[in-house]
Amino acid sequence: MTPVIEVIEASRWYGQVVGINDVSVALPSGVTGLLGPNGAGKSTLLKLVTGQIRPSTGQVRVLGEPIWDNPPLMARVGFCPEQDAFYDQLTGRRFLEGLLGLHGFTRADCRELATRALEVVAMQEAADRKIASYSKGMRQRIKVAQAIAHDPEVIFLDEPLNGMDPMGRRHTVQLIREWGAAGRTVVVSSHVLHEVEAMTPRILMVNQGRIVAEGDVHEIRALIDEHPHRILIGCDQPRLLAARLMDHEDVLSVRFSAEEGGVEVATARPDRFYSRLPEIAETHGIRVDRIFSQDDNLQAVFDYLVR
Amino acid sequence: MPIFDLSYRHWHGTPTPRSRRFLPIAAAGIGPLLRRRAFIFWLVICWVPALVCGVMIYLIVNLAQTQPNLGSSGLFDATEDRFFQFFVGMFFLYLLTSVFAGAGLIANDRRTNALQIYLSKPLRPWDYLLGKASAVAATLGFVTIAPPLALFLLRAGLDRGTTYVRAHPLLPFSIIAGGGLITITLTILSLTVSSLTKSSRTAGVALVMFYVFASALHGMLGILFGGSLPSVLSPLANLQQGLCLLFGREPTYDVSPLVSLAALLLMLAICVRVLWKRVRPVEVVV
Repeated sequence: MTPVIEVIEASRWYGQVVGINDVSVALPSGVTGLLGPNGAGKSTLLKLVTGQIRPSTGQVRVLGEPIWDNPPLMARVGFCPEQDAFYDQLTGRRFLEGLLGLHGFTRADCRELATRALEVVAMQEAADRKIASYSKGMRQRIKVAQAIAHDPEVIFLDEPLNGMDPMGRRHTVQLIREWGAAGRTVVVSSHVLHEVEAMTPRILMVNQGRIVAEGDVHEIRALIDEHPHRILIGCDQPRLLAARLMDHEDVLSVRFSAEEGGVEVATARPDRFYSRLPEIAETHGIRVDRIFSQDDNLQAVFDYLVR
Repeated sequence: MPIFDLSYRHWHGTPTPRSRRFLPIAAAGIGPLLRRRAFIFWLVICWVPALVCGVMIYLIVNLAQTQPNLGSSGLFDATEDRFFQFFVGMFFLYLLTSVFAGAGLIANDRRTNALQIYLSKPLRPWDYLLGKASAVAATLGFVTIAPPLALFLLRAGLDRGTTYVRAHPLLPFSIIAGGGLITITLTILSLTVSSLTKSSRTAGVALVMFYVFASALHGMLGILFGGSLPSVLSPLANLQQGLCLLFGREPTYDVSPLVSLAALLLMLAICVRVLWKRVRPVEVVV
C-alpha cells in the first residue's frame, strides 16, 4: 500500500535541543494514533507533517509531495491544532466561512460547506452564537469542523478530545472512525492511551524524539497489563477499604498514602478491580471522593516499555 | 459489509485563483475596523482639514474677481507648495491612523494563535502579509491619497477651462506618489511593530514611541554633531524629504532626498525581513 504520509530520516533541532531525532515512518490511509507523553516530540512530529515547521534534515511528504511551503497541498489537508485559535467575537459559522474563504471558495460555497461541517460536528444550534460563549468542548468541535470543512483527504487532529464532555467524545471518536473507514487518512495525537484505543488499533508511540513503538495498540496494552497497575483512591475510611480490598487475589499490595490522603493499590487486573470497587464502597458505606490511576498516563507506559 | 453514514458530500466547485487568496485576510482586517464607530469618527476627523481647504479653494476661485490678492493671503490655493504643506501638516493624523488600523492586525492573530490556523490553509505567508498590508493601506489611502486628490479635482472642477490642470500637469501624480509613499511606509512600519507583540495596545504604544524616539534621536544627534545627516534616522524626516522631491521643493534637510529615500528603503527592507521571520504558524523559541 502506498503510504500517504512519509517521514524520511527527519530530524528537527531547536538550537541544541532535539525535537525529533532521525525519524522514519510511513503511514497508510486510515486512522493512526500518535501517542507520547509531554515533551516526547509528538508535537514536533505533528508540526513537521502539517508543514508548520521545516525539518532540520530529512524529508516529510504527504500525498507524495513535500508538505513544507506547499500551499496547494494544504487544500487537501485539514489540521485541528491543540491550542484555541479563535476570534471570540466571531460566531462559529463566521469563523468557518472566513477560513473557507482562504481556500478560494465562493461566498455561497463557503456558507454551504460551513453548514455541512457544522452538521457533522453537531454544532448547528450553536453556530450563530459568538465563540466567546462556547464551552471548551464546543470550541474543540468548531476546531474539528474547520479542519474538515473543505473536505480534506488527510486530517491531523492534535488532542481533539481535550475538554469534551462524554457525549462529545463519543461523537468525535465515532466521526474519526468513520473518516478512517471512508478511506481518509487521519492522524490523531493524544497522551491518553484509552482515547486512542477507542479510535484505532494502529498507533505510533513517540518518546525522547524517536519512534519507540509502531503497530497494534493491543500489543502495547498486553505489555502494560503484565505489570501491576497502581491506583490511588481517596476516601473517608482508608483502613476499612484497605482491609476489604485485600480479600481479593488480584490486589497485590495496599499502601496508605498520607500525602495524598488515601489508599494506593497495586493490582494485576485493573479492569476487574474497577468494576468491583463501587460495590465494595456501597456495601461498607465508604465514601470514595476520587480515583486516580497513576498508570493511565503514557509516561508510565514508557516506563514499562523501557524497563 | 458495514455501512457508514458519512453525512458529507464532496464539493465539486472551482476555487478562485491563488493570486486572490489575500482578499479574505484583507476583508477580515478592514471589516472589524469599519464596524467601530470610533474609527469612522476618526476617519471623518482626518477629512476635516481637507474640507477646510476645499472651502478655501472655493473662496479663492469664486472671489478671485473681486479679491485678486486672496490667493497670496495664505489660503489653500492648490499649488504644489500648498499640497506639500498639506501632507506635512497631516503627518500626525496619518501616524495615528496607522496606529488605529495596523497595530492590532498581526498582534491579535499572534495572541489568538490564528496564524497557526491561517497558515494551515492554502495560503503562503506572503498572501497573509499582503492581505494585512492591503487592509492598512486601504485605510491609510483613504486619508493620505483621497483628500488631496479630491482637493485637486475640486480645484480643477471649479476652473472654467483647463488653465489649472495645464499649469500643474504633474500635480496629481505627485499627490498619488506622495500619498502612496506615506501609505506604504506607515503600513510596513505598523505591521512590523504589530508582529513583534501579542497585544494591540502594546503595539500601538510601541509604534508611537518608535516615531517619537526616532525623531528625538535625529534631533539630538543634529544638535551634538551638527548638520542634517542624522535626519536619515527618522522615517518622518525621510518621508518629508521624499515629498520635497515629489513636489519639486528645496529639501527640508541638508541631505540629498535620494539619500533620505535610500535610508527609508533600507528601513523598510529590514521591516519586511522582520515580518517574514515573524509570520510563522509556530513560534520557535531557541
